[in-house]
Amino acid sequence: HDGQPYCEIHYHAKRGSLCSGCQKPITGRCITAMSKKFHPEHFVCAFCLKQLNKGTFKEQNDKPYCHPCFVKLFG
Amino acid sequence: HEGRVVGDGSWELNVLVTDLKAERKLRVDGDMSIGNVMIKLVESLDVAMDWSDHGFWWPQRNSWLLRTHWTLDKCGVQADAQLHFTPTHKNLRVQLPDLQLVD
Repeated sequence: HDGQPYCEIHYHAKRGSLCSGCQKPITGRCITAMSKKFHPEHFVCAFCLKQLNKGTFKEQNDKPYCHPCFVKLFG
Repeated sequence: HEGRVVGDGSWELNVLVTDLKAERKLRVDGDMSIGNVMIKLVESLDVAMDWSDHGFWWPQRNSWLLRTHWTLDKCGVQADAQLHFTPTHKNLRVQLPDLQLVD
């Protein structure tokens, strides 16, 4: 990165490609949401923990929720 | 906040989380919706599990607080309430007309 050597974790940290869910590098499919990046399996509803598909989540206080949980919690 | 206002109308709500057999005190005020109390509780527990089937059971009134957009005031919940945060679906044993028992 920028001509400097980094270990894998710091390389991904510099590139902004660490998963916000597990803090590990993302090398395959990546979901970008709420200005963060996630492994698809770690982008989950904050209430029921079910996996979210990008575009079908609702955000409240910087946390993602699936539609059913959002309706239940925030009406 | 420094120099927190005393008498800001907030109070402590006692909740028993039945899955964890743990009691929690949450600082709330009467304007908070049931849904927001749930979020606050789940965030304070910080336990990664599916809470989607959970709701507040109010033993003293023998009732569920299922209207999550209602405020605590509207539900009549005050500081003397002891709520349970517990799954809404539970096991039930039923005896059929042929007397067989099923769970």
